[in-house]
Amino acid sequence: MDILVIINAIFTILTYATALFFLVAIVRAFFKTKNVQNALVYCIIMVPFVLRLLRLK
Amino acid sequence: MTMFQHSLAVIAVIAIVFAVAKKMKVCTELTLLLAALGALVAHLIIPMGVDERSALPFTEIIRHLVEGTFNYFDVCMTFLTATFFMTLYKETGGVNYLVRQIVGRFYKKRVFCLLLLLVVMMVPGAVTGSGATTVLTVGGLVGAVLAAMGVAEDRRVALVFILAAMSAACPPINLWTMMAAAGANMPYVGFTAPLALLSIVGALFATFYLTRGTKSDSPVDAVLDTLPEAPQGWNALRAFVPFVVMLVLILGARVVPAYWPVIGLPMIFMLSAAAVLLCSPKKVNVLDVAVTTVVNLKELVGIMVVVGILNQILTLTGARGLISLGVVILPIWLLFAALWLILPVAEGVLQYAVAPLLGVPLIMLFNMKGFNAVIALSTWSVMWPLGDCLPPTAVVGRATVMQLDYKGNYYKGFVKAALVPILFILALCTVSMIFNNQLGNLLGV
Repeated sequence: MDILVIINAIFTILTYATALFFLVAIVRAFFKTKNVQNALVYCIIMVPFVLRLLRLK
Repeated sequence: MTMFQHSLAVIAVIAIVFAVAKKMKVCTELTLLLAALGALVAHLIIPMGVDERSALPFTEIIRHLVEGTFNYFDVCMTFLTATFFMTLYKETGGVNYLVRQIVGRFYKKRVFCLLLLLVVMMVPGAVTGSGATTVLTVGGLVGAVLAAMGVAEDRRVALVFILAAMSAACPPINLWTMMAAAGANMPYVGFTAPLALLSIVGALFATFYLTRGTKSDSPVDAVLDTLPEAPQGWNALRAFVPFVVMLVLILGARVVPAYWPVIGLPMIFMLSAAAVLLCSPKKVNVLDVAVTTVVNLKELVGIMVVVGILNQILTLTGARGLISLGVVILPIWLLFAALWLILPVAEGVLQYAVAPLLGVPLIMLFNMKGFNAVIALSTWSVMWPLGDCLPPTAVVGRATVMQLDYKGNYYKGFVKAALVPILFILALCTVSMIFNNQLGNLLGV
């Protein structure tokens, strides 16, 4: 069972890494867009990703 | 002013802000955000009568907005990772390989070929919960095969749209069910059989109704020439390994839960995506694929984040309770008679927001009346995606028209062609909803 705990911890870290990966993609999409409304939507989408990665929420 | 009047005024403000923002051509995500902010301002300004509370401090306002963005964060992660997996599969040429194999081997066996195309259409939406993903990944290719089979343009677009809608409703991932069930503190368990039954029957009817009277009489080579080439090196083993990985990871937690780690759907899709990278003979830039995924899903993920905020503000202001009360006191015969129309129209206006807004009180009402809430929610969750071709949003309808380069009239051509299958699916869902207890007993739910 100790091995399962370690594997679960690894998956938790990988889930954070996945959130970071998509945050990078969202930031890139934000800088690529020329549309103001789209840029605002990307900003809103970023909020939960940033807070999750900072472990504030 | 009573709390009832206060909440009613907040709902009126939301409706006004929504209408004005839409009139000013603001996108749906920002429209919903503005409606939420308008509701918050109305809540702060309008008195709350005898139940008056202390003024909301600034930090609390921020807390509610931020907490709202997290309401559907897990669903967003599932959505993004699943679509990333399917986009990666498409970009590496896996989808091209599968479609070419189906056409090459089964084009002359019309019924079998149609059934395989139906499966190809259903898989992306079933694993991602998004009809738009289905259209963006396989819609164009399946449209090309249907054209080669002699299916008229209007019917072709209608079929791709309906299959995309049914794929979104098909288990294992149905976002409407997940969002409504989460809002009603109901586990996402027991939905597989009813969702599969309704969506697959609907997809089968649409497929054979819209392709009736056509013949597969073109030479197979001529049809293959119209399809994009698959990169060299793809074979059946490489094509199926990513899906086997996904199935093993999903089923493992059900078969041996005590010995299986807690992976979660987002990581399951990321591991399946890793399997695509390992199996694919073509190398792609992973970050570029992720950016493509984010751009394609901007509207849907944006709506889910904003709907979370709107939901939080509706709850704070008492408006959600009032909407729930309004739904719960409706006579049941009225719901049976009108939901087939209300749900798709509401989906056209609010997109995924309808699930927590209308779905949660409906679950409570049906549960209170002694009906089978699992079957009832499944029927609504198959009706909702059919509204994705209706204004003002029409996300999947517009995506289908763009992807298939449709030149005809949106309503008189495409929607008209889709009308009979749509009405059939709505009728099927309504009958299932009325006989929910009997169907529940039959399916063991």
